[in-house]
Amino acid sequence: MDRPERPTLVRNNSRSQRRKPRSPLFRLRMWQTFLGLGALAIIGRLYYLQILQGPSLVEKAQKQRQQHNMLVHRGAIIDNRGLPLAIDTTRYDIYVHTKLLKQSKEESAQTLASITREPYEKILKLLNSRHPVVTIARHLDREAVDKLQALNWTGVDIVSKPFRQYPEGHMLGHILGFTDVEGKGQGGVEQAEQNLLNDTGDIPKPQLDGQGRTILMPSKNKEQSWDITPPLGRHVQLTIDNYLQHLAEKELNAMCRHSSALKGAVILADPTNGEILAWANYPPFDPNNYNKYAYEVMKNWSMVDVYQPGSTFKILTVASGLETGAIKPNTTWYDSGSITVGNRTIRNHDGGYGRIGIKELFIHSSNIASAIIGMTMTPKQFHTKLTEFGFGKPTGVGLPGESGGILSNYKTWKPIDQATTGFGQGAIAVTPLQLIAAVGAVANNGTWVQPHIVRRVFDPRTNVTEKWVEPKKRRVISPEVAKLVSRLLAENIAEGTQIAGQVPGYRVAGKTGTAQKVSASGRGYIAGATIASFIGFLPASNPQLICIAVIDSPQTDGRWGNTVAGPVFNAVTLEAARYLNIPADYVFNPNDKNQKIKSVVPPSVKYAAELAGKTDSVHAPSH
Amino acid sequence: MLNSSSASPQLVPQALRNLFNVFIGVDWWLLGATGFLIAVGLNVLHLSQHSQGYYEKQAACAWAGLAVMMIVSRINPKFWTDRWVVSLMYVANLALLLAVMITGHSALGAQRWISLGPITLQPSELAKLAVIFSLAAWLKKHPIRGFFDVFKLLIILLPPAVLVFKQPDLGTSLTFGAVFLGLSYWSGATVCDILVLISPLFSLILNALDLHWWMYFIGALGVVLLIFWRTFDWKWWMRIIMIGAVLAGNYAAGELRPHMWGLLKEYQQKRLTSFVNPYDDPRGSGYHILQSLIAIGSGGVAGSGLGKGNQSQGAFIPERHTDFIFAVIGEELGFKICALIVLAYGTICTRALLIAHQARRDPASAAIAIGLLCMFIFHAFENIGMTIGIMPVAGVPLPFLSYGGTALIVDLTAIGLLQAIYYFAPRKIKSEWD
Repeated sequence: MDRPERPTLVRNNSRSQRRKPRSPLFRLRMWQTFLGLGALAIIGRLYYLQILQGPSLVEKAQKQRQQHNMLVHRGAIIDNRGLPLAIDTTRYDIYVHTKLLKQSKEESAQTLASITREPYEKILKLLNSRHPVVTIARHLDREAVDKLQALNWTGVDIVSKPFRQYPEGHMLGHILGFTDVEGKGQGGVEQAEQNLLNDTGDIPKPQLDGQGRTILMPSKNKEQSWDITPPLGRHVQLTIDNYLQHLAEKELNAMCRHSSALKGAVILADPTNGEILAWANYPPFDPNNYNKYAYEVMKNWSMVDVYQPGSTFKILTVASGLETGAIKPNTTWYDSGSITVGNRTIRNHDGGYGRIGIKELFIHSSNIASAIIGMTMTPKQFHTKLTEFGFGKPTGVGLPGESGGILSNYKTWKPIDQATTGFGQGAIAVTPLQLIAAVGAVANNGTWVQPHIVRRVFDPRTNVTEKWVEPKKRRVISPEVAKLVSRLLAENIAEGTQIAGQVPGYRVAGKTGTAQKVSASGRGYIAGATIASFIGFLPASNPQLICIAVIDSPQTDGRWGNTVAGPVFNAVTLEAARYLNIPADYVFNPNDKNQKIKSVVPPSVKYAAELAGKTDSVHAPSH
Repeated sequence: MLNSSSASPQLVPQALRNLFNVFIGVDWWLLGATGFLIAVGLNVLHLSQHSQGYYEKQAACAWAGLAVMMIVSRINPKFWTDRWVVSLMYVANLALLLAVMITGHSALGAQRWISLGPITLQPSELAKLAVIFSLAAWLKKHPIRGFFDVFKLLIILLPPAVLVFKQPDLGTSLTFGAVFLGLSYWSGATVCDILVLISPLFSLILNALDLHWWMYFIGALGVVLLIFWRTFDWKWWMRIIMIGAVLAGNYAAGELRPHMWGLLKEYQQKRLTSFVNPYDDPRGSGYHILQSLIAIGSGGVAGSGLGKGNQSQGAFIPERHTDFIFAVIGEELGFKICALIVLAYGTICTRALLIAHQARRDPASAAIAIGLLCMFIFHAFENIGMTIGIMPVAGVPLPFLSYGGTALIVDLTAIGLLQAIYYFAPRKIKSEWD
């Protein structure tokens, strides 16, 4: 400002002189400072938001766009032919925004009560509560929802929710488990495969815009597309066969109800690959109404509970003895009917048989001979073989809560323990599942195969198998020993007097068991209570099918394994062999009166008339 | 060619000659920054999904605005502050504002638009120019030489401001306020005068936010005024009384806030305070700000690409073509372009300031430049500040970027005016062609 200011139009009076503004340059600098600060503030804030806070805000944005209440259905559980055992359907939850209702509380309660079939008082109470949103009904079916939608009321929210159904009712209930109110699998396959059943894959979930509409996402191949998640989890296919399962449950239930048993189990499996074809438990459990059952009924007892196997265990004692070399195929024992070990005396159930070999051991079910075999082996040898047969630890069938049974450490074994273990009482307790796996090793030429229930888990969209079970295998006994034991067991059935295992058309290798039942305290046995069982496989020369029938505390038919479990075994295996088209290895002529094998009358037919009016008071669900 | 035109000055009128010399005396910085901003704005609108023809309308308005700008840039700015022209514009403006109140059609709960034949007009945008011209015309003769002179400006300002406020259009009325403060300072008010003028506003907001801050503010205000308020035309006791009156006024403003607050619509009240902590009410009043912050933040350095912003295109951002377009830009173009945009506004404002400074010998022209500068500063700062959460939410368009035909034409006219002032400003060294 070296030049004097030019006169302007501004009046130059005394007042303006007294309050002279700052120089133009000063004010220019003030303006510039102001501008600079403003720009700095904005750029600084942008730097903070976009560069420092950027990643966390990106996360926030993604979270915001995700759909939170997406209707995701759980995958189905199907049998080995694809028939549904557990499927998801859609049911509807009804929420009411009480403030938004245009009708009076009483009127709306009346209408809602008539549609949802809930009590009027309950709905009125809910509507009058102070909550802004109340749940009027859950799991409403389509019919009621259609009526509700026809009303077209404001403030009534109909939300679709997945709903689990078990179309076969109580069939396979113990093995399937159930899903709780949160849609979480509890027990059985539902729990074991929880993650995969709910897994919708790695396809991103649809993203929503601010108004809840799905947005088009740019995809890798540069074309925009909808991010669509198949709202369905993985399907689980079981090794169970629907027909055989029906069969097993029918026969088991008939026999258990006939003999007023406490519980029972039938497991039918393929010994060559460990696939369980049917797995029935008694009393039945219906997962559709899981909350009406006690835990005792819900649990899969044939996998969770242990019992002393009794005579059926002699198969394994003999196999172990032959394998370890403690006995020879031609070894004989003198069975006097009792033997004293330490201060305890072991008896047969019906006296002595004199000098007997292995075959007679099976035919007469000699406890004495079995006890001698048990004591002939060293504890370590016996224990190692039993461990290899899968006792003392869970088989790994792939279901939660499996018990490992009881097999005490051989170092603590006394001779009496060895002796009683020899015939399946004493230091051993097993689950039916462990037993069928162990005897399965004998049937499968000496190779133990892990039993399993899940055949595969697959993506329903692509049908690509994502998980399958490769059963563990291990050689326990040599094929020669296995063949020998199988042959002896088959001769036991053929030459013995029992009815168990008499399946027309097949040579069955099997063994009955009638074990004393251990009292709940674990000390001593319950007088008169038995656990009747039969385990066998067929055809004996080339086993294709193995089946165990266990019935706890039967009250009829002498409470013998032969008479209680045997008919169940016969009925199930006969029909299963026919169904699976297993070639017969024995010519059966029904007209030959001299033939020992009689036609099988299934318990369900035999006792049909008797059971027709009988109500099962013990195990009915408590309503 | 230039020689031939200068050889026969009497054959072609000077005004017409100026019109033809479109490339002479152009402030290229100003024009370049404007061009950049318009290009960004048109691109964002063009590549936006669900654009509903916004791009076509905006492009048409950009062409119209360009024409208006070129014409205006060759009209001597003295014309706008002519007594008769300015009176006519002022009255016409009031008439338009009244007309919009009576017959205008509304959108989003505000009555702002008026239909004149095929075009829809937003008179509050035009009012900005009219008010700036009127104030400049007054300041031409009456510079501010005392504290009370600023209130004379208020008399001119209030009628259109009240009409706009009633529409309701809080943003435009606040723009008037910014223009008023800027022009006051430019034409002679001191910094402390400005502080005194805006202090009641601070009191209002601080009272609403935190009573302690409010009391600290009043105390600090007293001290600052005692030391820095240059009011030498007053006796010492007069000065004490005045400071006391200002403090009392501030206290009264704070105390009366609950009552004055009622003048604002409820949504306006919430918008004014929710920017401080949008998380208080993330689904209600804080929603717009939060969504805007999330969108801008998720842009990062490079942005997600035009038309590919999930937040912007996903209807999370309200008013994404108009008031919140900066959030869209932030997400889709990222920090790099955002910083450039801020720089472009900085360039426009700096150039406007220098043009005003250059033209200070002509108080009316300089005042127009400063008025336009204040308009740009306020619009840009308030709009961007609102989207990044440092200013309260008020409906102010982002110059050149927001969708809005009238606003774009008015903004381009403003650039034309600045060019005219640049071109016609009295200079120390005469142009060699003159």
